[in-house]
Amino acid sequence: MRHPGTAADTIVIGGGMVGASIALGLVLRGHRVTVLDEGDRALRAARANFALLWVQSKGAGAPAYFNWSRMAAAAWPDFARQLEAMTGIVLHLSQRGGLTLALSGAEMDHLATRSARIACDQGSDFPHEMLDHSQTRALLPAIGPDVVGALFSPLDGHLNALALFHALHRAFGRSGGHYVPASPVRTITPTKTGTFILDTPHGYRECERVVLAAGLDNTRLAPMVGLHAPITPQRGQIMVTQRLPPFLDYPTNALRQTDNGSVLIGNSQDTVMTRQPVDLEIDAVMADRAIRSFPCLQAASVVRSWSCFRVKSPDGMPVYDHSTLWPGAFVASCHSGVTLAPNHTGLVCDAIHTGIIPPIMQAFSASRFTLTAASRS
Amino acid sequence: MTSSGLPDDTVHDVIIIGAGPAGLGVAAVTAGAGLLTLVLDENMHPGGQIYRAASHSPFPQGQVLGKDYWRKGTRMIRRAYASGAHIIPRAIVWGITPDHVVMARVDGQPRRFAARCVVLAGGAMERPFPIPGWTLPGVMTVGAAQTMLKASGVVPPAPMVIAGRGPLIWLLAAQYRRAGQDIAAILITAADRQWWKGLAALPFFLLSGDAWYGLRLLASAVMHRVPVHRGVMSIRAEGTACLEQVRWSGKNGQDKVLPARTLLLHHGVVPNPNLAMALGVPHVWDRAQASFRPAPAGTADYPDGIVCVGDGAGIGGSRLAALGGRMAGQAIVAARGRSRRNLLNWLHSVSMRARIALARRGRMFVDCMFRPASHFRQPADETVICRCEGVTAGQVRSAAHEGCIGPNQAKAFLRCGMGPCQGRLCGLTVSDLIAQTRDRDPADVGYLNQRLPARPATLGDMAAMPAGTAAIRAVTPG
Amino acid sequence: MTDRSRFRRIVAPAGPRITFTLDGRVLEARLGDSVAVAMMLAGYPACGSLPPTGRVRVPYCLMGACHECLVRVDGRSMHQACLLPVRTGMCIETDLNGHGS
Repeated sequence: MRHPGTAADTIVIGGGMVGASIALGLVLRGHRVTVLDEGDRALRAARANFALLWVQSKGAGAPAYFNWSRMAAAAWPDFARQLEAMTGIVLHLSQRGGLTLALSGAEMDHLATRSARIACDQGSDFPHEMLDHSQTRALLPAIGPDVVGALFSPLDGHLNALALFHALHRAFGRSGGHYVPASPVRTITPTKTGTFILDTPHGYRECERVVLAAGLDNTRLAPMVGLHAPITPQRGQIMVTQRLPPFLDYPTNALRQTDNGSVLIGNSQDTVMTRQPVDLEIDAVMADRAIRSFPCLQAASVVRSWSCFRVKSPDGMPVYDHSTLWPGAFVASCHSGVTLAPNHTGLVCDAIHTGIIPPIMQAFSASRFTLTAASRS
Repeated sequence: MTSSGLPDDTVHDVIIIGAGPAGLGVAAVTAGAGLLTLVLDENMHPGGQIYRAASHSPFPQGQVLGKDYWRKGTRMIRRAYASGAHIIPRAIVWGITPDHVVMARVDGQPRRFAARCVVLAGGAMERPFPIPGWTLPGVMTVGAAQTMLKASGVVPPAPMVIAGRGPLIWLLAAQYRRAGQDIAAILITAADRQWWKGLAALPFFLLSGDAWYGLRLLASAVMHRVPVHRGVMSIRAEGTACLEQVRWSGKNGQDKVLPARTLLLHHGVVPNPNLAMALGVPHVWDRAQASFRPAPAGTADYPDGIVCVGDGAGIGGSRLAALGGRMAGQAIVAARGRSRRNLLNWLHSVSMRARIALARRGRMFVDCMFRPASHFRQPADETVICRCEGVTAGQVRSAAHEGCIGPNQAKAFLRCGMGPCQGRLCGLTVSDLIAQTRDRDPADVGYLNQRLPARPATLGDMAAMPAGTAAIRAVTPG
Repeated sequence: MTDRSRFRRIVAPAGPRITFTLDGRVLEARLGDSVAVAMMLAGYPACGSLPPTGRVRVPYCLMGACHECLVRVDGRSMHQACLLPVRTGMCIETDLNGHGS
């Protein structure tokens, strides 16, 4: 069954942080956009992330990625204001800087080396500081004696990611976008006339442009349109505590206090595709590290824990590509959908709109993976 | 050392969570067959809800609380102890690992117990009954009134109004009458429009043991001098800092007001699903009971070594729970090769199966008769439906219009289900509201995803859990 | 003359009299009561307040489901008062009036 009369010129597959950002950007550029999304229980990075706006760990050895992230961070304040004005949803953006705590000399060394590498790379302007214990304490008075020091960068911050997610969807809907949930895409078939036919459980849909923003499912869909989106899924687990009186003025990469007072604890990374949604042993190790970082948390109660899969490419950088085989098909894949949201609504949509990938995005083509493989053979 | 005197690393043959009729039913059988059996219960004493504090109630034996409570309750508890089961009260279970280590907070301290298999017998909870003003001090559940009566001999402030639908209302009313306590009024809400569908099960209900008990309750209800109003269509709790009056209307739509300091609400009970769901037990929508319950054992993806019994596996009442518990106990004993196969045991097992089948069929009658009218499950827009986060029914409906097809997306947008109760008091309402707004079946809409910890656990308690190298590697940077 | 407009006992309690403190106030209870029932009998049922509206939390289900009765006990937070037996000298704090935060 076809869907006549709802011909979109663009279909975005995936209604997560990346899909919703791109869909919004396109609808604001005058496209007729339909977002096809999964059901309520799908694996969704968008509902499960840590809500960091984070640059300090990005792009060591890959200046293009650092610059891409830096650009996004700089665009965030205006982006937040516009989105809040469009939707009435407050994002609670706070961008006063962020820290990565080191609980050992080895961790300090690792942070210092990585930061130096980012700073030395050509074209990178990376304001940051390595802090000793007492300097860290000046910013975060609640740290424990086990904290050796920290990396600080003024570029970083955090926000309410669920509010962002809600705002993107609301803005999209209010701007005339069409959102279709419970509509996973089985296949994409390019036609000789340059359109694409998508097979969904509710019938076929045809469009002139298709954007693959389906997170983990991009790997399966990409080859159908001559694209490549390799993903090494990496599981992350998070715990959230009861609401606590404010005691953390800055977010850290593994622990932050939200606008409602609860503390999010995270940053685990494992590749086991376990059936278990929450691994209590990982919670235990994260809890231990959280208490060593902030001893006052010993008595705080965890009220929820969850996990999700980060959409990580083999080198951790995003994948943005326009299909040369089937022009009109694009793929957008990354694990930093929150930080990069302004770019996704901005430059990435320009690229989709014009069909031209600008130089700043060319480093993110998936050809970097096949080229490496080819140069090895 | 556990309070049973066994070392902490003891691997129990079976750990049962919940010391109500089902849990103690399992325990009596498995412990009686010589299996090392541990029962963990969050309350101060065993007995579950229905037989709460039966061994420790301040009421003199036989008084006020009813024959069933005194005879069956005390007997059940005595049997469980006599069988050799270890019972640890005041144990709040928050997690179970894949290899069946049970994590609990016992008397405020973190404890771990290992088992070969775990029986979930955590029972039921009150069906959420959100009405405007239900968060006012003075509004509680009928279950809460029974708890304070049985365990402490305490009654709430008068004037008292009881509202809702279901046999427990009549049980409480009978207990209050025996105790000389006045009730200002009983408001019985309108039946579900399809209540008559249960009539086909009436013969089975009459044949099952429950009918006699039901008749006694009904008789005591008739003996009331309490004003009873039926066909109630709407209820509001009103007051400034606390409850001052109850406003209600019947089928004619006219508002009536009753001064009250206490309003006790009850719309039946539903399985308390959080722990079972967090462990990955698949759940299904039970149309007759209008709630989610565990899928039958043997369903695909059912986690190994987990058994669900009692009201937590599907509402059936205490009699069915006790029977089901004993059957499950026998299955566990058989799986260990410890059954004594003889004609007597076989006959007994057949008889139990038959009684369970009969009780289940008869239950349909009760389920349909006492199911609340659907508009109470889908309250008016202004009603707060998530108490923890203050989310209203109207907000859930708007989110459903905005594209939320299920409770998890609604939770992401609205925070309903993110509070400490983990959706126990709002989960069913959120699913029902989305189902109504999108004209779908709750079976298709689904329920809030549940995750461990199933109860709040301190970071200190969680950090005390042993962790393997894989977990350490997953968290430690570098 | 019993004041029927309060929570009250209608049968002689089983346990002996003990005292506990609630937000600094010394109150009487009986061994065997839960903290929630002890607070209601003493006339102080409020367990805390809830953001964002600041509404007062009081026990609702008394069976461990609603989590409205969460209080701080002897310095440790998030105990359900309805499941906790009151003990002599127990120090209970709600988060009302600046206590126990």
